[in-house]
Amino acid sequence: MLKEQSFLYKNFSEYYKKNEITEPPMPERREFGIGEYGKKITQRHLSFSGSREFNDFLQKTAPFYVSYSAAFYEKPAARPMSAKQLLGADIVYEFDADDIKTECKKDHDSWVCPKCGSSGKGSVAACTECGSPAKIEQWFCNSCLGEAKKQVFKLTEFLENDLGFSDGIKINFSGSAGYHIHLRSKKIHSLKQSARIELLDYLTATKIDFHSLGFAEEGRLLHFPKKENFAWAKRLASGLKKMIEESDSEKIAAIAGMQHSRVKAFLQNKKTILGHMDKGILFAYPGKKNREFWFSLLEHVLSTQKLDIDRQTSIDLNKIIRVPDTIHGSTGLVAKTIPMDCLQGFKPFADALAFEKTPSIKVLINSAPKFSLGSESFGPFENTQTELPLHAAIYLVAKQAARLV
Amino acid sequence: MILPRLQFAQRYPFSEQAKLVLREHNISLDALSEEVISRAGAMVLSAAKNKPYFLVLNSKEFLLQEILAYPLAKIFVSLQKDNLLCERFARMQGNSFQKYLDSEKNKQETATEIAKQLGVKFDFLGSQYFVSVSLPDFLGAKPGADSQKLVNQQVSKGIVYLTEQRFYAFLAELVSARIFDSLPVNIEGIPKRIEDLGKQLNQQLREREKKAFEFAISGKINPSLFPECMQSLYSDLLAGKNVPHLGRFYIAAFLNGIGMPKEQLISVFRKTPNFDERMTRYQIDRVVNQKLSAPGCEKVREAQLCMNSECRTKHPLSYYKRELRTKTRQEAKKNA
Ligand SMILES: [Zn+2]
Ligand SMILES: [Zn+2]
Repeated sequence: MLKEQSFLYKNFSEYYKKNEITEPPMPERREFGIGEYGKKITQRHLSFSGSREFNDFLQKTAPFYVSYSAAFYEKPAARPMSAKQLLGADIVYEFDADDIKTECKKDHDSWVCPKCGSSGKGSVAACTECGSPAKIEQWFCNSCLGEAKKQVFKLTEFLENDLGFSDGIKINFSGSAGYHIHLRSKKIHSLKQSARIELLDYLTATKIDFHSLGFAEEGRLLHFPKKENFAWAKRLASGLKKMIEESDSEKIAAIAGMQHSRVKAFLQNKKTILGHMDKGILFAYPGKKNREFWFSLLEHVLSTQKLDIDRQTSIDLNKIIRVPDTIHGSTGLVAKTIPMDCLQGFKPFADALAFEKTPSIKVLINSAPKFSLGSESFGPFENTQTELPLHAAIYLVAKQAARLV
Repeated sequence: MILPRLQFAQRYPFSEQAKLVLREHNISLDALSEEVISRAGAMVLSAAKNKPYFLVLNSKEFLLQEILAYPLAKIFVSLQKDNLLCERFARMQGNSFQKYLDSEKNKQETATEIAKQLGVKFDFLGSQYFVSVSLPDFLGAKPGADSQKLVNQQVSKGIVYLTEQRFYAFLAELVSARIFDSLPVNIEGIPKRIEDLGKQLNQQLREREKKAFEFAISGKINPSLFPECMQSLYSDLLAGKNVPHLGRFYIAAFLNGIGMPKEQLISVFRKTPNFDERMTRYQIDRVVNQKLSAPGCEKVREAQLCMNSECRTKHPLSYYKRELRTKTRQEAKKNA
């Protein structure tokens, strides 16, 4: 075993000795998977008779990654999958910061081209010199993780106000790049695959049909939902209304792709437009582009409100996902459970620390951007030999950005 | 037994009423009559052909045959070990449910009864929305059209608010989902005679599939075989003439009905004055995705688009299919 691996192993094991893991519920019905240094899943189809056996296992093995199945089974360890006999399943939605474009990526991410050797700051898909796929060194900070958090708030709003799923929502930091939301109510457990797809399509506004929601077309006439509305109809209607109320003609012209002067002239009728909305009609934009005008605005409102959720992982009944409150082996941070009322103030790099500052550890750091842990900040580092507090050393070693000396 | 009870059981063969009739007659699989067996076969074949199964019967004898045939049809379907057939059978039942419900004098009463039997929690509202259904119940159905998807409903705090039309469509989808979930039925220990009949049916289904496949590959669209009304709309569009809105919609649904691919369909409209690709695409999408059916002759006539009052057909689609069949046969003769 590498020096670094045994260093992490020793510390992770310590953590599990000091902290009893009470997640997930119904451990005896779940399939578990574990991973090694640098590999997230190396073994699946594990099962435990209960929380006790699971915790013993964690203390002894201290795996770098621990995942559990959102589904629960009659025989969790059986293979093939069908022999496990599915009894039900939670739903887990994931929001990762790596999918979101943020300014901070320029500060902490970097890329290297394996082909021509060029490199640079930020996150790029292809090498800026030769165009071949770039290798990206990803880091996360409180700011980009904050963007992922916004999605979580949006989701909980949908879950509570629209879908009535406020019971059994469990939120945790993933330990690295984002947040996980587990839906564990009875209502969820028995949902069929088709129902899970319906929920996902609802949240991501897939196959949304403006016509069905009250924005019907009748010849040149466009309707606006008039009666008491809920859900997407309400979001779209109030979003559209707000845009007209604000009457930012430049913004609206840009969104609709139309001449600013014309849009500005049209918005002079703001009162009439809003009055028509109350009567259930979208006041006609002059010329031939009535439909295009209103529907571009609708599309825009939609794009700001819908959620971005990975389709495959959220409807896969067989997926396994990090066990909350265990350690993420790529950061040494805890996949910390966050009570809903603490989510706003949650700071991953302060609130999800698993280790103390002491003892300090000597490390050789290859490369790392400036990062913070707790109330301190560190770096940036470039080929630096230094002494770091334990938690910072573990963070860099786990990220494979530093070696022990 | 009184006629309305039997009629209800025949129309809704999954209902408690139908189960009661079965219990009362308690006929073993061995003792089923030839008529019942042939009705069960007909149900399965309709399902395989994606055809609706809709009968209006007033004879107690025929009604009883249909009621007895339903569980046998489910056995036949299960014997084929074909998931697609299970799906089609379930969908056919859902579609039939919708048609039977539409034909009821008191739809709401029947719908209430069926909804209760399906265990759906709902309330009639008598306000702007007809009915409210709990979300978990609503999710028990698999939407057939986009307009029935959850994303296109009014939903608040886990309650889905539906119009009358969407409620009935939801019930039909739920019927279909429940029947699909009940398939395949247990076929252990069924009599040899039934098993053999199932094999015969399998033969028929396979031949049908083969024919359908041949039809599909030879299915180049031939406008010279269109009825005059559709021919005229079609050539007007290609010539860039201004075709009225309804005419555009009708020809689109017709072309979709005979299997013209979507992109080709859009290109048919390309020469029309003020062609707007986005708009056209949106409208064609609606025709294709919601499977809006092609208009029958009556509608064409109403829209004053009929060109020949003597073409003696009820539906432009059946006209085209008939002409195509004749032509195919003639060509086969020529080649022989
Ligand atoms: Zn390069
Ligand atoms: Zn960041």
